[in-house]
Amino acid sequence: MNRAQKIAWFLAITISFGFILSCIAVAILYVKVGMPKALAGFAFMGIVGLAGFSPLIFGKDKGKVVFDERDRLIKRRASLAGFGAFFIFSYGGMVLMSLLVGWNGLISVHSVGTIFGVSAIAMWAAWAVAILIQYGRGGKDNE
Amino acid sequence: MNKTQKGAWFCLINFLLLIIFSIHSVKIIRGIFSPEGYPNAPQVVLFWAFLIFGFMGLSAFLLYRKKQSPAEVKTDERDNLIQKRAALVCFVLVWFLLIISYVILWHIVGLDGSIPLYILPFIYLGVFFAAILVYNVAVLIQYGWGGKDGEK
Repeated sequence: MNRAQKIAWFLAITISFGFILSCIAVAILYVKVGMPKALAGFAFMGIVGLAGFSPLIFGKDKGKVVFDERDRLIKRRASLAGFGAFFIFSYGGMVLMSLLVGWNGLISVHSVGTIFGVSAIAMWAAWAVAILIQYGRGGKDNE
Repeated sequence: MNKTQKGAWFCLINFLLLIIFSIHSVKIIRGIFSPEGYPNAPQVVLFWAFLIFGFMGLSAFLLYRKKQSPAEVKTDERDNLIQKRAALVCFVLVWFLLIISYVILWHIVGLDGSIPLYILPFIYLGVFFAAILVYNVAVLIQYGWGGKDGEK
């Protein structure tokens, strides 16, 4: 498993873990205190921030050749997938808001932050999934 | 000058032309809605349209003209590295600007405050334009702003 795969796995795990914990927390808080206070459960998505340390946790690969043309192509495709996810979620969020409140309607500032945050998480999730799918989810020397 | 540099120069010039046109168009729109009107508005808009589309057409002709030889190298490792670095700078800038715009909104109207939804497309558009500008400038800086075949 190479460095990009390790980072992708770490991202996929932190995002999934954060999302599952958030859903559980929101469900529990909904029963206890009701909406909108239950939305505070999404604070568990902060766990995704740990993924930012992945380049430090997983050091550079050892060996003469650590990166070839195929790796470059895989990373390029994964970056495109990430960009596509970011585009869909950011513009999709905006269009969804326009359907809810209309183009002249008002949205709260934290809704803007939510759109940006969800778009960022979707982008990294798409990047990680694209990396893992293209490398075949692991295996010896990525074969 | 190689293809990446030409692309960067043409994007930069088109971008600057569009910025000047946008500033000028505010004046035109104001003039149209003023009591005096703006009788030359169609001519001015046509002039700008010819200038911008003409330059875009010229850019496309020079960038996508037929190769002198099928063996002519399109990009090499160095070009790829330059494009990769420029894209990385662009990526960092996009997120920096999005976060800054969010912080500015927060500062102006507060976290519980509201903004009109039509502000959001303007934020995206501004970030998009800034990203294009920075990408092209980053490419040109790395190539040293010109030179034969991208060499300093």
